[in-house]
Amino acid sequence: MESTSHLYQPQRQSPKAVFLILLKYIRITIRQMWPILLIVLINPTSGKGIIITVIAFGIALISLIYSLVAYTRYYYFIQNNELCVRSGVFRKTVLNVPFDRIQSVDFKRNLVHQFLNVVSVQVDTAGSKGSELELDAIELGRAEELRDIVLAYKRARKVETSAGEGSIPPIPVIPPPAELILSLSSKDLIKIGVSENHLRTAAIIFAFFLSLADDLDQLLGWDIYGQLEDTTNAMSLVGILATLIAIPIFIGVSFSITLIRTVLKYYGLKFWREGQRFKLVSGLFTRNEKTIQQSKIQVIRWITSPLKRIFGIYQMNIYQATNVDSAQDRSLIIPGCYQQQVDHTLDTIVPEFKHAVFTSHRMHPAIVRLMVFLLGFIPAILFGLMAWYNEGTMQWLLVLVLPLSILMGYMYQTKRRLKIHPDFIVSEGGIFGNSYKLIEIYKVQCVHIESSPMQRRRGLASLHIFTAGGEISFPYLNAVIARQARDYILYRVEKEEKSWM
Amino acid sequence: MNQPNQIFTNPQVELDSLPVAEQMNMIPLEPDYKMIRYISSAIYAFMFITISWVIVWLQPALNPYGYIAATGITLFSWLMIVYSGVSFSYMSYAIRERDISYKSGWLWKSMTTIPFNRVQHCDIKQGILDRRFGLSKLTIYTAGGQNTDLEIPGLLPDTAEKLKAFILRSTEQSIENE
Repeated sequence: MESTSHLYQPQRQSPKAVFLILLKYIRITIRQMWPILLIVLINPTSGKGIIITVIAFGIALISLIYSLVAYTRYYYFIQNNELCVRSGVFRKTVLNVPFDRIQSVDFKRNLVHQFLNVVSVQVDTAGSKGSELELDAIELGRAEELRDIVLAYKRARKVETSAGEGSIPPIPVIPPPAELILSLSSKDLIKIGVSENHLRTAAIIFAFFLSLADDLDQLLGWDIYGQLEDTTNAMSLVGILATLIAIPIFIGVSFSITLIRTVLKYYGLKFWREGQRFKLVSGLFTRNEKTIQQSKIQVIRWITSPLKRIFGIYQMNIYQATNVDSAQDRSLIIPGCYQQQVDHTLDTIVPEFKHAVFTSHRMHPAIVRLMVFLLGFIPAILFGLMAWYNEGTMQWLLVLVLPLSILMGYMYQTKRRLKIHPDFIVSEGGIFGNSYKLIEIYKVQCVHIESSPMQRRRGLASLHIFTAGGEISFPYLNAVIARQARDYILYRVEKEEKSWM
Repeated sequence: MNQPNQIFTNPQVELDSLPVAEQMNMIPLEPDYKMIRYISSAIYAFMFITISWVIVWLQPALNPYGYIAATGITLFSWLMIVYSGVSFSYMSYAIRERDISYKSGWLWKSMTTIPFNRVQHCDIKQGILDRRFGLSKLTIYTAGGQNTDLEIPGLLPDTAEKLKAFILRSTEQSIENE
């Protein structure tokens, strides 16, 4: 098998990679220089415009040559159970990634990739940051071959270490049969899109326009803020009317953007189980494929918001053991699924969970007083002072944060639960929605208990349970229970013989 | 309110028989470390106090609020120096057969425990002040991220080395058993 694969000889990426590398440079250039390009487009005949056009063409030409050279100098191959990449235009670099350190091999295809029938291969490694490897454009068949070799090696290693030294079993290259756990139809996607958090999109659009206004201000000398101030100061009937029309338009725009974004991002989502790993494929223009080894799953979370509850859907996140420093989100996200699908997924990942009987622990009501003080009382006093100082009648409305915080604190306290079972811990919560977080006790890394003077007076403590994929924190828990939970978790972890990943 | 008084109602193990982390004999840090804490908090306090009074001096328009704020910062910084000394006597660590714990805090108390079979690696560091007083700091890392790194300061270099060797040996043993 080893001798037949081309991967053992140094080879270049698919020639189509040149195109992709070029696109990448152009995208980076445009992202950094778009305000300048805007000037050129608006005012192409001015002296400044001509110079900038010439410079832009120069940069484009240089990037074309650079990407061609970069392509011809880029080789990848497999050697001694390591994935090697040799590259560099001016300075040669060689990167060796031992198979042992490879955590996952994921494929990504955007529209261009799909058109050219290649994939971008992302190799995630455990360990030092910045050691992630990305091959821009590989033929699909070759990429699959690469992944199978790595996975076969890892499977063999696992069997080898568990069976003891000496016996090397045959390496199965054929991937195990895939079992579909869930898939989302277009109807589901629309429901998910409708129930997404539209406020977030609105905030992003708002921030974008603010920065745009800033840029235009500086570049073209348009006094956007000045004009805005004039209109708001006048507060004429026209101004009020304009605001009344603008708000629904703004809401409508952010609503449709979230909807479209959700549908495009999660189009044709399919969640598979392939033997010991889970695979998530989704996306219309950019086809994303993410895989997680079952043993690496650390935390499972499912949440619902009031909007999502109308449709009876939950969002699920599956977190895996990750290098905390790497900014990339390695969790699997299923943006929406029904209760029954949540149960089925949990059943597949943690079969014993279904039968688990939990003992519930609540949060002490004193947490409400703390939340109201920090999130309601102090802000209300500050807002009140501000309103009084500015003599702004509308600003007094901000003082409503106090009753709001009482309501939210009360809802938070009534919903928070820490549920303990000999094998699992579930943290329940949510203010308007509901959230559930599940960990398996033997995967815990570290337990931390802390208490403030206020907590100690009431016999309370905060319990923090850390895993390699996230933590469960439960403040204002009965201190006796917190300590007992800690002692039990430590006992379980220390006597556990199963590896946590 | 009907609160359960045990973590679960139907335990497979006798919960009262579990080793209780609270009953360990805690080992205090080296007394010299108290001085290091005083010095380092004094340096910070000096910085804060200087900066706040320089601002008051440069921006007279802020007064009288500037004076009030700067006086507040000065008092607070002095309190921090006192707190750093008092809380020293609450810092201690303990080693059991299978885990290591670190306790700290006078008003805000905390205790972190890491089982040896979850240790990724340890290292020993020495800051400028540490070197002056001949002390070391042992840090124990897990896969749980930065929040879970256990830092035991104020150890004799010898003790730190011994602790590190013991932890790594125990970690290796527990992994072999898996």
